[in-house]
Amino acid sequence: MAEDRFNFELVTPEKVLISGEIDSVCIPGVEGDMTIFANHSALATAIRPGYLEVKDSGKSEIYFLAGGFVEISQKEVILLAEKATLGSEVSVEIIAELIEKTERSLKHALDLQKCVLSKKLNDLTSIKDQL
Amino acid sequence: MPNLKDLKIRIESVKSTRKITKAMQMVAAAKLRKAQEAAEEARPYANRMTKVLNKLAGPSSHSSADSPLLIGNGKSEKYLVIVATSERGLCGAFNSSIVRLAKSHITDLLARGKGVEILTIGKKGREQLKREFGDSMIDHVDLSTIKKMTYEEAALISENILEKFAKKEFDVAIVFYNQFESVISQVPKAQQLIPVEGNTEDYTNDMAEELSYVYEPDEQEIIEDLLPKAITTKIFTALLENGASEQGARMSAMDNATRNAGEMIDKLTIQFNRSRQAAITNELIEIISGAEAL
Repeated sequence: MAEDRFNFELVTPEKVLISGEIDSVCIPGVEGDMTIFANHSALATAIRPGYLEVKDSGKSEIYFLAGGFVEISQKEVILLAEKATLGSEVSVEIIAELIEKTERSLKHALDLQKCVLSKKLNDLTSIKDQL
Repeated sequence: MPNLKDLKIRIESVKSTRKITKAMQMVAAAKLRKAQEAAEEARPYANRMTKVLNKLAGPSSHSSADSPLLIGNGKSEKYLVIVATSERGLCGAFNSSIVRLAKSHITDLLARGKGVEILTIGKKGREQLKREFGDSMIDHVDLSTIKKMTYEEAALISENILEKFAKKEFDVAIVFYNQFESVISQVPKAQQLIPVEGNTEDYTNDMAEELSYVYEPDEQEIIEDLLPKAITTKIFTALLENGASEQGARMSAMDNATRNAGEMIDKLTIQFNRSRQAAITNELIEIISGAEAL
């Protein structure tokens, strides 16, 4: 069922983590989680800190994303993530470190960035609480 | 003519130098492969980032695009010059070529009456710039403790720069680094960081595609989120390119040094053999003339 699959790329600054055909992917968009299947309409959204779930032939992989950007077109989905950690390796320390970093950059952020950053901070704190 | 013992000592010393340069060359070759891989693996992200930014910041986008990071703060009076060099020497013209390019830019800016502040990354650049522009140097990033360049390190540097920009300490930021072309060729490059330069080259191709995108939350917010990341990515790319260039430059410099040492050893060995032969001949003459006198 080739037409039900689509090309997905998970790209971090350090390397391309995933590149290949998958069945579906669940993305933590800033406006809410969304699950993308093949033939999704073109969409570009920022990503809030959260979990990414990649499903392929019955198996699923979970990654924690600290933020990023996703570009969805009919033929492919490209996710640019600043940092992607395997779901099983996420720890309170990693989140705490991210919170600290975000707080630091919030201090000197320009006005418009401030609102983006404080949203991010909220998300991170709630993830930390869940762990 | 130096005596035999001196020559022997010199040959030995050149031989051990050759051993060292040979070892350094091999180490550089191994490190180069890693650095090159890292630089290559980072490329997809950087390319995508530029592409997305071009789409968002392109002239037809609906965002008002008034972020100071994108269009600048309207002035170009104060420049921040970021010079990325290495922590170690013995890598040929690697550091001096970056410094030379940076110096010519700085002198040019000063001549046009602009203010210049310098931020150095890596010890070697700081040493070379200190003499001439010591007063303008505001900050230094030490890379000596970092074994592998990570995105986080680049993020720290870019955060520092963004903070300065927010405090209006400068209007334009330019970064100098060596672009890795091949083992024998590294090209010093100047790249403007702030305001972010959009290139409009491949813009037309994306245009048709772009119109159909739905942006969430909206373009303005995405752009605000992406700009700092784009700057970090640029710094990260520059540092990775620099890392690969450094190892490449060191490898070829050490290769040259090893070859030179080899040539020197050959020359000295010939000289040594000649002197030894001369000494033997001398001795023979003495013995023969002694025998004849009897």
